[in-house]
Amino acid sequence: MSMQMSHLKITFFGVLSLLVYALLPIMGSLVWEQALIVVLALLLGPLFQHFFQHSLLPISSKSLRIVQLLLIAGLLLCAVISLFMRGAPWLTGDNFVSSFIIILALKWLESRTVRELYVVLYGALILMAASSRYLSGLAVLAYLVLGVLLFLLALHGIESRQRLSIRSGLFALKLFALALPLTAMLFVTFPRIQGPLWDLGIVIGLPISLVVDQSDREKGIKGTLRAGQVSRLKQDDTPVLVAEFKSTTPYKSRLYWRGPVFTHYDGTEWRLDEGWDNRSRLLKQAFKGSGSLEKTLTAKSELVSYEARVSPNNSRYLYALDMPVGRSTESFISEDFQMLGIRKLSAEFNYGQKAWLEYSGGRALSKEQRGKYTALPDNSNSRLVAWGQQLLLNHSVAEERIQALRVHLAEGGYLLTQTPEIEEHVNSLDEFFFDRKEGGIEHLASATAVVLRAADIPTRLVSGYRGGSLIALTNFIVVRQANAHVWVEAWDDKSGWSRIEAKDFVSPPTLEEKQAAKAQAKVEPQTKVEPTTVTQASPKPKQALDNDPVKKKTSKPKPRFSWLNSLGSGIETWVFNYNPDRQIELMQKSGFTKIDWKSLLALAVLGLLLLFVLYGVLIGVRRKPQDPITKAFERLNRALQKRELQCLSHECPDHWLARLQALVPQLYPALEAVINQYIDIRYRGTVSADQIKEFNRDIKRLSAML
Amino acid sequence: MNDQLKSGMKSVFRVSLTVNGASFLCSVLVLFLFGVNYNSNLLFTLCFVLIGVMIVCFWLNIINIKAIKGLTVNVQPVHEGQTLEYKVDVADEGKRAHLDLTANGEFVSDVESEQQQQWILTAKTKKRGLRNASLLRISSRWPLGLFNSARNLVELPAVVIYPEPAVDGAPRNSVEGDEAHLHNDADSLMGLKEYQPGDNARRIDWRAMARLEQLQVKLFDGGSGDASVWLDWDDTQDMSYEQRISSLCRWVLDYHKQGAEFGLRLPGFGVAPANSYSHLHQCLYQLSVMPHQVRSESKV
Repeated sequence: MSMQMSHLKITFFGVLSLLVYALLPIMGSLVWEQALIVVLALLLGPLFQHFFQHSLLPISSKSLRIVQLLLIAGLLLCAVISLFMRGAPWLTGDNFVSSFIIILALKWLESRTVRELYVVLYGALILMAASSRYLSGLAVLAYLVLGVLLFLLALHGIESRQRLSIRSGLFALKLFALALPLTAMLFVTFPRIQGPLWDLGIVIGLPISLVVDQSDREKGIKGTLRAGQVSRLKQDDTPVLVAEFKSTTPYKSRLYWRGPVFTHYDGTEWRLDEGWDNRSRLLKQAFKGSGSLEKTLTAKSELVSYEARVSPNNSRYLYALDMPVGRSTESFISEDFQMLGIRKLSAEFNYGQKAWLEYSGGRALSKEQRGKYTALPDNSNSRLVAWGQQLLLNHSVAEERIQALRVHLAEGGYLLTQTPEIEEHVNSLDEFFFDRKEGGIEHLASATAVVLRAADIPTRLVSGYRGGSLIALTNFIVVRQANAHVWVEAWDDKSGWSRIEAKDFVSPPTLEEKQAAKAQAKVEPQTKVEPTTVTQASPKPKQALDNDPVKKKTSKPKPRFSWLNSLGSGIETWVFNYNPDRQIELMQKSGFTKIDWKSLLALAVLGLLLLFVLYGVLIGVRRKPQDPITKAFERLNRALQKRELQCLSHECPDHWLARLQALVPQLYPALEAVINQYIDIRYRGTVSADQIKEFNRDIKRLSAML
Repeated sequence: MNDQLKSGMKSVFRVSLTVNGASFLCSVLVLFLFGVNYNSNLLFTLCFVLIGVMIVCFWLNIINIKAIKGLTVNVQPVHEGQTLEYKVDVADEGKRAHLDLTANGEFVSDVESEQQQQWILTAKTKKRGLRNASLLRISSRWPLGLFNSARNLVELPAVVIYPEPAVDGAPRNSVEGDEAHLHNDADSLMGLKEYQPGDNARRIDWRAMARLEQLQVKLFDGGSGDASVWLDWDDTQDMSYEQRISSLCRWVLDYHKQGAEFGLRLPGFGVAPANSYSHLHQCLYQLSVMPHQVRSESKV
């Protein structure tokens, strides 16, 4: 009994250690009274165990139980009151996590039996996973590895009758190591489903606003655009709109969701036209009547059709896909090709729309408009302006000027970062373009616009979103603030407005973008050849790798421990950033031509089965080879089993023989000879090899006869 | 081996997911959803590790009870109310230790790799009579309790449970007929018989052994001694049915202990007076397989 108790104690200790371990990183996110409740519960749990087991207090264990339950109820009440007092919205992620922690801690306090410990243990495992989100980088990896070992140890401790010891630790390590090959296989092949899961709520039709924190509504780009604004937006994953595509979903990089279009630049800030929010003015200049916009287009290809739901944003912008075609109720298409709402969006808005993904065109520019689109601020970014004017001198054709800029961007070694370090001042674009060569997307787009304007090409800056995330297994694309983007449109007298995507020349296109470019080249070989050729002529693979801003930070050469760094960046590339695109790339490199989630899943399942069997073989579900004599004897036994004459498990051969004599007298002489031989060999010690050979032969002969 | 046992032996092996294993899977699922939600490759990896651990455990669990062999089973008859002890010798035949095993629901000691081990399995006896042969089923949840595998190891042989002897009570017997032989008294030589363990070693005929290469014991026609005793069912009519059995059982044991010759008469059974282990066993056996009480029989 006492041993059982000490065993239980150690078990409790194992579970407690996992629980504490899981709590460590997340503790900081709790408010102090919640943290206090959790610590109290953790400390009192073992204390009650002690009292229950040793009955130290002069009260019965029943009343002790009542005290325990009262304490739990009290702590729970405290937790609820604390939640209530904080007043904040109840249904937030933080509240959910903290409630989970408190309930788990109280469950721990209440646990007395092994079964309850299991509940706590699995709860702690899940908590550990949630906690790991409070760490970053390699620390997460280390945390999870250690956590799994601890979990296995605790589980083994509960289950096994052996006491926890170094041996159990080694055993947990062994289990972990044995699981690694399978882990690697699943990691590579198992199809990645892109989250977050609440996107699935959007698919089944939950209003986006339910999914979005209400306080975040006022985000997005409104009247002005400054450097850093988009970069800040990029850190926010609030959904802006959800689109369901009718047939196939286009490549994400080809989706441009058009928002405010900026014309005026003062050196630091882009502004919209005066009266940009004036409805009657907007309506007057809008494209009216179906087809009126399409008539102005000079080139168009790839029509897609979709239904969109825009979350309320307190403005008119519906962020329709470039270039919108049709008409929709309660909305109109502005002069700048935006789709705008008749009213400001205070509630979720649905519309169906079609779009040409590739286009150029627009109403002819008036002289006044041309002036507006080529205006440059005085005393600002003079080097950039001079550089643009130089382009004008060198190339007489506008198309050639644009091409020269593209080549410069592609070969100039520019870097896009999430957090630009350039201070805001009137010459910040000069600093970006000539000195630092590292900045945000706003710097790049603004610099492009300034150069083009200086080169006498009418230009405007479009803000909005590019891409989105595909919800797994559906045709839904969710566009988030994180997809915020700005790009440039340039005017050509012949073809009208067309998009110039400076970003694709600076940072190497991802695999998907490459495929998109390929598809694009197939669709319209004549019109859009230049971008692809430039892409090919530009950054060599090695340079391309260095261009990735994330990696550059980690792989800065250091004299020592450089291997550690390369290991770190290897893990970063192949573990942290292993995403569906990289997965598909890897699969294609290893010879699979057509890869989708179904084939990946099939591959994963197949691999799982294969490894499952392989593990079985390796771990050794096979018997120790029998010695030849036993084998021969078993052979005879099996032959006799058909006649139900086999040697019973408790029978010695001698008795068996006696039984056989009575049962099958006609066979007896033959059996007697062989079985006596067996007894002789088995029990009489030294035997010659010939004897064994003879015995084997006799057995074979006899078994065949039977 | 009867048919039921045989079919039992066939359904040898069974692995099942335990409740713990199901919760383990559920946790993995939850972690996977976490991973999906946060696009966290590390959480995916965590899930995959756990799945891997589960598969490893599956096989470890199976071999833990697979490569084990039952060698012999030894059991001695006991009286009702005493604890029956099956001594089961088992051995590893797979170069692996076998841990955390249970046999018919009882914890049994581990079997070390390539070693033999004796398990003593106890069973409470509640009823006299023949206890049928049964199968010894071993099971294990080792290592993490995610799976439970079970199989039949050996057949536990049938065994007799003797009746519970009455606490005391003077024997009632009838002395009649033949007088008992007291073979231990040396008188006149009757003949020789084959030596059996328990025979008086001083009576071994060494000369005969030289002749026959076999141990022979001299038999003497003992002098006439006490009268042989008959224990009769009918002498116990004033007791209840089970009481009669247990009283007779007590007397049988007592006479055997005293070395007296006794005979036993039961309804439908009678055995002539003698005193030997086999005689004792025969008497106790007959008493234990007396039909269990039905109201009409109590008046026999």
